Amino acid sequence: MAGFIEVLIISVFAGFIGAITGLGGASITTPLLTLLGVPIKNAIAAGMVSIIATSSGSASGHVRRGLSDIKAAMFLEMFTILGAIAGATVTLYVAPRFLYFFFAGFLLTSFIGLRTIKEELPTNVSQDRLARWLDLSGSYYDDRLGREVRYHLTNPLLGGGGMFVAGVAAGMLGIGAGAFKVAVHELVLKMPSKVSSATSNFIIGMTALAGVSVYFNSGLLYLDLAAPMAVGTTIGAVAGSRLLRKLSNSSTRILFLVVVLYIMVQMIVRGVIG
Amino acid sequence: MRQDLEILISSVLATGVILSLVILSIASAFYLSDIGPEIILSDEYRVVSPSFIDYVKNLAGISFEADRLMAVGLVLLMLTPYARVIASFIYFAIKRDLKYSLITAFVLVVLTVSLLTH
Repeated sequence: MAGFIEVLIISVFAGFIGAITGLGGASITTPLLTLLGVPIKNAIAAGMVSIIATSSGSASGHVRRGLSDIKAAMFLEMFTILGAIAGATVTLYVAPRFLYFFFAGFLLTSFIGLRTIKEELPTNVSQDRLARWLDLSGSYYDDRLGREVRYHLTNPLLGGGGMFVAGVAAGMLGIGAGAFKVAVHELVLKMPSKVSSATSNFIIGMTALAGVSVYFNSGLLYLDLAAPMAVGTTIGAVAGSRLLRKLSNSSTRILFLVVVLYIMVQMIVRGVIG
Repeated sequence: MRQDLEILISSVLATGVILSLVILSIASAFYLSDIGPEIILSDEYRVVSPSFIDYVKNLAGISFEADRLMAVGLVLLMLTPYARVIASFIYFAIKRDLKYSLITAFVLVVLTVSLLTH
């Protein structure tokens, strides 16, 4: 079984990557910990807590820079939160092996989806009626481009559906489902990369809290696993969010792809090995 | 106004996270000195409680044992996203944005119910 210090170090790394890519950290810590012998359901429960750490740890930076889209986040959260509660409940009963495969499959979808985007920023987005009614537009100051960027979101209902699925995955696997969420934000809603990372971080925190509340009576959550994960992830996330605004939207995307690929391979291996 | 609220939210979040981090770090130091570098999955460190709110109630009373401190730090951490939802609700309510006040209220209610049950 992994030692306290090892968990701490892995968590710092995961928190850092999580803040930069909007992945939430547990997508990285949970798989790595299972490789070190931690039972997957315990890693999932403890990981949920570390997701909250990443979310809140990097959030203060995002909020101050106006990168999170609060409207989009709250609208989408209506769907995500229901999914998370459902997903967490399922995990209480399902066999662990399925969790590995689901993990890999889940990441695969977002990996494939994101590869098709080429431009730096989405252009010529025409909003559907619901998006206009919900006033899903915003702006942020892009440090790298050196100007204010105005954006419009669309397809909120489809996005909501996608977010429900993301919520189920989040509750079930204890991941922020950041990979999937960001894919939904960017491909369906046409959100700029940096806004989607920040908004995803906001959503992740609320979603993880809903998910972890389901585990409270299960006995799957251990404080001495959750504590080093939370401490390490927070440290990493704070460092990571300092870096986020300096990156171009393209670099964020590339980093995201590399990390997702690595984790996916690991999960398939574990599912096969058993 | 959005500027001010955003600064307020970010300060609250930062304070909450830093405080919980400090508590957890202290708890971790106690853990390492009392128990050592291995993680023991014992009942002392296991979270079993009918609900989150029950768990919080049972934490009453200051104690400097590693498991107690860890529990306090984690509860505090868990409350930060909750505070953020409440702050968002207040933001939309003050702006008299009915649509988003209702949307946020929905999330707040579901979250609260989830924390009060299970």
